[in-house]
Amino acid sequence: MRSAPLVWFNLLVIACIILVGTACPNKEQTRDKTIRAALIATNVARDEFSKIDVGLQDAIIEAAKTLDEGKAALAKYRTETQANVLRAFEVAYRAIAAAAVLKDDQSLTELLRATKLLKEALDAAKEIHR
Amino acid sequence: MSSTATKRTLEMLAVVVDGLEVIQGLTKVGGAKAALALASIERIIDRLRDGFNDPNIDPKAIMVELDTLRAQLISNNEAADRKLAEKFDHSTD
Repeated sequence: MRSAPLVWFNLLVIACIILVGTACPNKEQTRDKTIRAALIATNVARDEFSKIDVGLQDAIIEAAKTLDEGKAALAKYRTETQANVLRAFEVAYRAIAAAAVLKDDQSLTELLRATKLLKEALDAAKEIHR
Repeated sequence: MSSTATKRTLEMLAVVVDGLEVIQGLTKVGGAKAALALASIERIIDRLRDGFNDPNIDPKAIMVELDTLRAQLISNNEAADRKLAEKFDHSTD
C-alpha cells in the first residue's frame, strides 16, 4: 500500500503538469506556482524517503545472519538503491533551482523530467521494500 | 549594479551552472559535454540580456534542502551501523 505522502507527491506532480499546460494570463505567476509546487512536493518526498530508508536498513539488519553478511547487504543497498535515490533528488533540486533563475521554457521541461525521474527512483526503492 | 547585487547574481548563476550539466546529463537532454556547457552558458547569457533581477524563489535556499537530505541519510547510515553492531554484540569502535 502506498504511503500518504508519496500519493500526495504523485498528485503534486500531476498538478505541476496541469499548471504548466494551462494557458494563464499571467505566465510568470503560473511559472512561480509550478516551481513552488515542485519544491513542496520534493521536500515531502525527501522526508518520506528518509523514513523509508530507515525501514529498509532495519529490514536488512533483521535478515542478516552474520555481521559480515549484514555489512555487505547494507553496503550494497547504500551504493545501489540509496545512492540512486539521492542522485534523483539532486537532479530534482538542481532543476528547481535552475528553473527559479532561468526564465526559459526548457528549464520547466527539465524540471518536469527531473520530477518524473525522482518518482521512478522512489517507486523502485519502495518496490524492494515490499 | 551594486557590488552586493553583482555578488548575489554570480552566486545564483553558479548554482545554475553547477546544476545544468547534472540535469541535462541525467535526463538525457542534449549531446556532448562541451555542447551542453555551451548551451548552458547561452541560456544564462539570455537571462542576463533580459535584465537579471532576483528570482522569487532563492536557488541557494533550494540547495539547502538537498543538504538536509544528505545529512539525514548520513545519520540513518550511522544509526543502522550501530544497530547491526549491537545485534551481533560487537563494539562500534
